[in-house]
Amino acid sequence: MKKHTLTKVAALLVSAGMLVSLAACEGQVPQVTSSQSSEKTSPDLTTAQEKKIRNKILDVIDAADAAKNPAALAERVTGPQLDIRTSELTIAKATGKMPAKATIPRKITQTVIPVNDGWPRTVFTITTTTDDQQSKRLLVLTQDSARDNYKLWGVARLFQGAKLPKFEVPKLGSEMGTAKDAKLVATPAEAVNEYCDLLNKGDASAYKKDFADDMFRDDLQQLAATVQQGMEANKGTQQQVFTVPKDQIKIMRSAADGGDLVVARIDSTWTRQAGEGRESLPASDEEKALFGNGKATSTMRVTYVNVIALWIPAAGSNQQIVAVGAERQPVKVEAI
Amino acid sequence: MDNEPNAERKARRHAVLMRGVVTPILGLLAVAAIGLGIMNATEWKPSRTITAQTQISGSRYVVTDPGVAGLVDSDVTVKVLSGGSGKVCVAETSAKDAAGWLSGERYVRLTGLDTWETLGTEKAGSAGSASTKSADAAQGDADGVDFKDSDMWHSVTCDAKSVETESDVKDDSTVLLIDLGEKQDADISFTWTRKTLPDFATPFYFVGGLLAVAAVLTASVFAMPPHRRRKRVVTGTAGQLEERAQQTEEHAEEVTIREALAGSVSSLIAAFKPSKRGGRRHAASSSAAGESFEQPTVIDPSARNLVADASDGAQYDDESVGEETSVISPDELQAYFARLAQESGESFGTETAGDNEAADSADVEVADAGAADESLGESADESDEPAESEEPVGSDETDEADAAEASGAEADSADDADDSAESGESDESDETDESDESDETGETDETDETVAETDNAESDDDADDEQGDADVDADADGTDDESETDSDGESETNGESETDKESESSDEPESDEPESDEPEPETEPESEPEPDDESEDADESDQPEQPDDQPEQSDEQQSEQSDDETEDGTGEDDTAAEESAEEES
Repeated sequence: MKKHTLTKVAALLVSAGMLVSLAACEGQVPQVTSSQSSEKTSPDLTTAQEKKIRNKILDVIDAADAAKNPAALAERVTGPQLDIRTSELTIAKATGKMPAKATIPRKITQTVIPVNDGWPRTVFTITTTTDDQQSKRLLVLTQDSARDNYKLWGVARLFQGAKLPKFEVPKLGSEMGTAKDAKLVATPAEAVNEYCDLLNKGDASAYKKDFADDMFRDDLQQLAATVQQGMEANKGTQQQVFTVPKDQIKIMRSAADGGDLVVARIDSTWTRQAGEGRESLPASDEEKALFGNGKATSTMRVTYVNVIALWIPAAGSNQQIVAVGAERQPVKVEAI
Repeated sequence: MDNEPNAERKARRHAVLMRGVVTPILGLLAVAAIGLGIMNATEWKPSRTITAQTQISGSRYVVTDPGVAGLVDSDVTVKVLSGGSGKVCVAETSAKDAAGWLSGERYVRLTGLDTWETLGTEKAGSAGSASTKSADAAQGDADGVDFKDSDMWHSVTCDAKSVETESDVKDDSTVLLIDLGEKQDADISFTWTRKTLPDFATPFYFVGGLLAVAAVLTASVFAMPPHRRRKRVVTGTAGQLEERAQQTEEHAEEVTIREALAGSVSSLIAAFKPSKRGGRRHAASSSAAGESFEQPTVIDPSARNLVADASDGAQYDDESVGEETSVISPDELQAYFARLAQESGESFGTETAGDNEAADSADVEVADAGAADESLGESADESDEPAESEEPVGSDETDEADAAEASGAEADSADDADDSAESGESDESDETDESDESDETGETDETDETVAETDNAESDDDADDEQGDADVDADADGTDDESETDSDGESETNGESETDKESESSDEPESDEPESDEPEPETEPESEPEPDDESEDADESDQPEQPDDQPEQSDEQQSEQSDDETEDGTGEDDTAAEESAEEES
C-alpha cells in the first residue's frame, strides 16, 4: 500500500516537473514546412490580375485612339497588333476616325491562363461581341520576360459561327503549346505554312483538303477576283504573295479536345501593275492614307499584316484544320 | 490470533503515514500545480503579438521563402526601414513570379524564425552580368518595368525610405518581395498577431486537480486498513466473511468439490452400467443435486443439450416436459407410470417393444428432462409406470422405438422390458419413431420391442429395459426421447424426422403402439389406419397403455399425426398406436 502510494506520488512529481519545462512562455518557434505547393502547377495569373492587365492595355489603346497617336502604343502593344494598330491610327488621323473593326470590347467571355513557369507567357482572352454586333475578338496577350509587362500581341476577329475548343477554367490554367507540338494533324508551324500555301495557290494547293473553308479565304478570293476584273479591264496585273515570318506564332493547348489553338502572323504583299503605262494608284482610302504623299508609279505594292487563328485538331481525329478568326490590315503602301 | 494485534498496529501506522505525510505532500503539490497554472494564465501568458526583426546589408532585394510570410499567422505586417533614401517597395506575389523577377540578381532570403525575435536570413541568387545590370539601371530599366509597375504582383506598396504594409498571406506559395531601390542596408520586421495562443495553464490545472483528488483519496480510502476496504467481497458459497467463515467456506468448497467429483464419478459409472439409469449427466446432476442441498433445485426444461443428447447414447431427457406438468406432480406421474408398467407388464408379457420402448422412453424422457427431471425420471424409469406415464410425452418413446427398430438388432431382452414399457410406450411416438427410423419394413414387434426396449433401456437409465442394447437404439431413443418430449410439449427437431413429426402431433405414443405391434401391417394410411392400428395396438397394449393412453391421448393424437406424416411404412403402427390410444382413452 505504501509502496504503491509512494510510486504514485513520485510519478505525479515527475510529470509536474516536466510540465514546468513546457511553460516556455511562447511555445515552440514555428518551423517552415517545405511547401508542397511549389510542386503543384498554378496559373500564372489570377482572373483579377488578367482583368487588371487587360484594362491597362485597353486604356493605353483607348488613349492612343483618342489622340490618334500611336507613339504611346509600344508600352502595351507589341507584335502584329502593334503594326496593325499603328496603321489604323495613321489612317484614322487622315480619315478622321478609327475603323469599326478596331473596336475591342472591355467585357470578356473567356480567358485562358497559362500555368507555365517560364517566359514568355501567353494569355488568350475572348471578348464579347461589340456593341454594334460585330464578332468576338480573340485577344492574345504576351509577357516576354519576367521584367516585362503583358502586352497585346494580336487580335483576331472570330468568324461568325466558328467553334472554338474547350479550355480549362482560369483557376486551373492551361498549358501553352509550342510550334512543334506533335500529336496533332499537323504541327502548328506546319499548319501555318500550309495555310499560307493555300492562300498563295488557292485551289491548286496541295493542302486544300486539309483545311476547311473559311471566311477569310473566301473574302480574299472574292476581293482578288474583283480586282482582277478591274486589272484586266486596264490590262494590268496583280498578284498576292503570302509569307510566314519567323516565330510569330502563339499557341495554347486545349487539354479537353486534344488540339491546339494557334494564332499566327502572315505577311502578305499585293503588287499591282497598271498596264499601258498608267499609274497604279492607291485603291482605297486606307491605301491613300497610308500612301500619303508618295509618288505613284505603274506598280504599287501594298503590304498587309494578316493574323490568322487556326484550330488544329488532334491527330487521328480525321478533322480538317479550321481557321476560326482573322484580321487583315494594310500597313504600308509604296510605289515601286 | 497473533496476527490481529500486529495487523492493527500496522494498519494504524499505515493510516498515520498516509494521513500525516502523504496527504500533505500531495496537497502541497496540488496547490503548487494550480498556482503554476494561474501564473501561466496571467503573468507568463504567451504574447499575442510576435515581432521578429532582422537587418539586411548590401542587398537590393529581399524575398521571403515560401511559407515564411504566413509562418505565425496569415496576417502579417511588414515594416521596412531602409538606410538610403530611395523608394522602398514591398510586393506580394507568387513564388515563381518572384523567382522570375530575381533571376540573375543577388538577393537575400528570409528563411524563417531563428527565435521568436529574429528572422533568419540567407544570401542567395547569382549575379547576372554586372554590365547589363548597370546598363539597365542607367536606362531606368528600359528592358524591364519598374518594380512597382510589374503586372505580376498581387499587390505592391511603395514609399520613400520606409514602408509598412499589411498582407493576408493565405497561400504557402505567396511570398513577399522587398525592393530597396538599390543596394543598401535595411531593417526589416515582421509582425504577426496570433489568433490562437498556446494554452499552458490547462495542463497545470489538470495535474493540480489530479493531485487534489489523490490527496483526498490518501486521506480517506488509502488510509484504511486493507481488509476493511474490502467490504463487499463475496465468497460465493457460504457468504461468510470472517476468517473462520472463510475456512469453513473453504471446507464447504472442498466438500462441494469432493462431492462434485464423487458425483461425476458415480455418474460415469452409472453411464456404463446398463442397469443404472440416468446417463452421465443424469447421475452427475443427480449427485450434484443431492450434494448441493443448499442450492435451489433449478429445473429448466428448456435447458437441454440437444447435441449431447444426440451424441450420447445414453442421453435422453426429452421426457422432462412430460414431467413438468403442472397439474400432476412428476412424482405422482412416476408412481402412476410405475403402476401402469407393472400392470402392463403383466398383461402384455412380451408386448410390443413399443411399450417397453415407451417405458424406456418414458424413463429416458424423464432422465433427459434435466437434473430434477432426470432424478425423477430415474425413479420413473426404474418403474415402467413412470416410463409409461411418460409415454404421452413419449413421442420420444415412440421415437426410441423407431430407432430401436432401425437398429433392428436389439436383444430380446429389450423385449421384456419393452413389453412393459411398450404398453405405455406403444402409445407414444415410439411407434412412429420406430416406423420412421426403421425402414418400416414391418419388423416384428419384437424387433421393435427390442429396439424400443434397447432404446428405452438406454434412455431410461437401464432401469427397466435392456439397456445396453444397441447404442443405436439408445441414440434413437435419445433422439426419440427428445422428439417425444418434443411432441409432448415442444417441437424439438431431432435428427429423426419421426420424432419431429411426432412432436407435432402426439402420435408418438400411438406410433409406439403400432410399432410394438409390428406384426400388424403398417400399410395403413397414416391418418386412417391409425385408428385401426391403434385398435391393433390397443389390443396388445391397450390394457397397460390405457392409463397411459388417457394422459397420452393428446400425445397420441399428436403422435398420430406425426406418425402419419413421418412414417409411411409405420402408418400401421401409427394408426395402431393411435387406435390404441383412442381406445384407451
